[in-house]
Amino acid sequence: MKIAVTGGAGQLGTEVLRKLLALRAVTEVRCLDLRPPAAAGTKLTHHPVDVRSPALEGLFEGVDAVVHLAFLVVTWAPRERFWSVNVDGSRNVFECAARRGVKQVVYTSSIAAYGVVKGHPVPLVEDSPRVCQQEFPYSACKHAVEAFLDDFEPRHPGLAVARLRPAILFGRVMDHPLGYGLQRGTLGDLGESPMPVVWDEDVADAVVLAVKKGARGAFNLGAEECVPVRELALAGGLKTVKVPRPVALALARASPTLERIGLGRAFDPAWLEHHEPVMVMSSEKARRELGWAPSCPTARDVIQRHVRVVPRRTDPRIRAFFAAVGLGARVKPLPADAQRLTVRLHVNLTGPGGGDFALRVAEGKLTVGSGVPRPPTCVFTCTDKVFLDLCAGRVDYASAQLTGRLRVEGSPMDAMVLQGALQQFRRDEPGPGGAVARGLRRWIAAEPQGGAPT
Amino acid sequence: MKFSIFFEMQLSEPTPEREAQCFRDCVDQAVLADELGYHCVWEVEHHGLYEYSHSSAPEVFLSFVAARTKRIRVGHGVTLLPWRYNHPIRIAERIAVLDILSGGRVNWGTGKSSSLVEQHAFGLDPKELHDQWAEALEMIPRMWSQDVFTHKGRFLEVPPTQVIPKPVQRPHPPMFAACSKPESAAAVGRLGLGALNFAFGADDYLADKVREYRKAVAAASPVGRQKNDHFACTPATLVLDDDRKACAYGLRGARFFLESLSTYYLSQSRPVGPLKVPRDFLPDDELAQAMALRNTEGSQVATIVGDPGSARETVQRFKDIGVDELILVMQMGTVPHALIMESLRTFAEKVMPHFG
Repeated sequence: MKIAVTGGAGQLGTEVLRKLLALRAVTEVRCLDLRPPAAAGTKLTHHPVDVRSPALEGLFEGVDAVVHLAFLVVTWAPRERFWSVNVDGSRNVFECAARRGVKQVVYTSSIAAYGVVKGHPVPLVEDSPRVCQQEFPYSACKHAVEAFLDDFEPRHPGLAVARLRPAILFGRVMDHPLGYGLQRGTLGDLGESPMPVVWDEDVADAVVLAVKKGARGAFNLGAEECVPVRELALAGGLKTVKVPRPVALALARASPTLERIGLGRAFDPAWLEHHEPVMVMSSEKARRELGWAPSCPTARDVIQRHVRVVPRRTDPRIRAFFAAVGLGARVKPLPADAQRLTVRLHVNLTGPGGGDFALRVAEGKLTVGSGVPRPPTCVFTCTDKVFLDLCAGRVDYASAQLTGRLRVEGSPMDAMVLQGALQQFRRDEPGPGGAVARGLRRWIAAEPQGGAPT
Repeated sequence: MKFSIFFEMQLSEPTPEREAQCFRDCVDQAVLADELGYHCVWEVEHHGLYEYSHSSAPEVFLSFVAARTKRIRVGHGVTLLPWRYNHPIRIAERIAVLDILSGGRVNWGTGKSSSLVEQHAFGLDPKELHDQWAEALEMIPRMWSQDVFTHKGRFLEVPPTQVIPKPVQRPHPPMFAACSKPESAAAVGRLGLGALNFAFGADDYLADKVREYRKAVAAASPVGRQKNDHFACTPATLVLDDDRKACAYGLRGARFFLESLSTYYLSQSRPVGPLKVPRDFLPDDELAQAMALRNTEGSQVATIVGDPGSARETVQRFKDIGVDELILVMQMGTVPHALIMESLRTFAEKVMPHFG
């Protein structure tokens, strides 16, 4: 099975790519995104393309399904551009798919397609009325794409369209103010209405299920038992921060200007202006028809998962380990057979003390950096705690891998760069390098606490 | 699909007695494999890799096995070609004699070694290994096919010499080389050699290697006198009727194998004395996790441990990918001889017939 994914480099896109690449029945995944993807695998290809481009059609050649995720969400853009990327782009995706005879498109619409307005039924079900909300561009775009589909689908009966309508996505990577706040252990208090949330990997599961089943129609995707922010924060042991609305709004409205002069990123202030309505969704249909079984069934599960897996502040011992690896690489050349490699290894450490590190081998040299190398040749994932156990020699690499506590995606040989660094770190070597490693090892071994519970 | 067995002569906590017993056990395993219809006995060559591999004289072991067996092939997986390990003339002579005495049952794999222990013990510069391998690889099939052999290369010079005897397989025994990445699989294919691949990673990674290999071998200019289009993998294996027992012993063995391997190959050092590697069983909860992970989507296609049903599922994955031969690594340190014998029988009776 061959699948094209628009927006594959984004928050949800990364999870969707990872899940699709793991499936043996999937033979090719095309990531259509201006940014390179953050997933790795021999079946993955990257095509930098704008969703509005006519070139999209050629890239759909031979695919069995298109997953359409590309959308400007919280990023601020001039209104015309926001509309053209989201609405014209989506139309282009569906029309190109139809012209190429693609059998299915799975599109992630949103809870916002119902309109973030007062007066919705409780719970919202898939055929509840959708309200066009001109003053909130994101919602208006989602509404417009669905309106387009209402007309488009009957004209293309051979093309199955699944519209997934997820709530607000929580996950490992949330590149916006809500996510930044969560990483600091805070949630902005936004009043009394329940906050509709869902864990992003669960949405990726629904995407995969929809593809596998060739599903048609709309599917709400949300965690149950949604509660106001204050209670959500309480369930996750987080602080609520009461930012006076005028201040928050003023900051958000200023962000596009600030971005232009190099201060921070621009976010759409409309997100702060529309949050009060009660929107309680039922995801019963997705459970029943897709067999969706979210790993975080309730809002409490979502927030607690976030607290458990998303890095807040990288453990200083992990930082010290990577600093030592970087330093060692400068004084000691790589072994001859490793010098020929080209490696971009993403070390993805989950848990409150985790973080993202990049080990690169190019032109015979190893360099260590932070962040996600794009595109990675290999992704190494484990918790901060397992990683510290590996450093200290409390856990061996082989059993961590055999039991799945450590996961390697992409080219498995590339992970050996890290495995080799761990080996060298753990062995007793004479000289100053050995003394540093011994000191670090003692430090790591002395404090078994501090990692995430696994 | 062909099924073979692989010997490292791996031994946890050796004593001279246990070491000698390990060699005798491996002979028994090879004899049983011959009776059960396995395709080939493959044997490594390593020097000084204490506990990981005590197989330093495979040519002696394989000769002994050839004498004790009737039809199973005897394979070097692999002979180290850099000339300080084995001079190319000596290799050509030994392979030819083994081929004559075994009745044309030799498979000949080639490699260059990748541990500092071996390289330093023989005074080799790691940077020259590849070129030395390539030079010997070109020389040896020529020794087998030419009456008078002459060579002038970067490392070696041989004046006109009659290298004798000649092997009985025509034009010569099938040739192989080790590989581990898609690029090295392609490099092996370009030379027209069979691929001995170290099993690692998920299905798509292995499929990519097979694809790269086939593409290259189709367009190969063979270094030997004939092409050998053949892709083999070496999964860690233990198959018993009792699923849990197979996993307990098999994964303990695989863990010992993998940790010993990375100690010698990834530490950039020359370990001496007992290896600092785990030798115990996985705790119950971890064993349960590892068992549940087998054959799931995204799982590695690298070990065949469990009951015959689970083994058939994993073998099917290798088959779907297009692998020609599985060289089962049952002889892992910590796995008792009696269980290896039972595993050889169980696999032959309950797995092999499904992939005839």
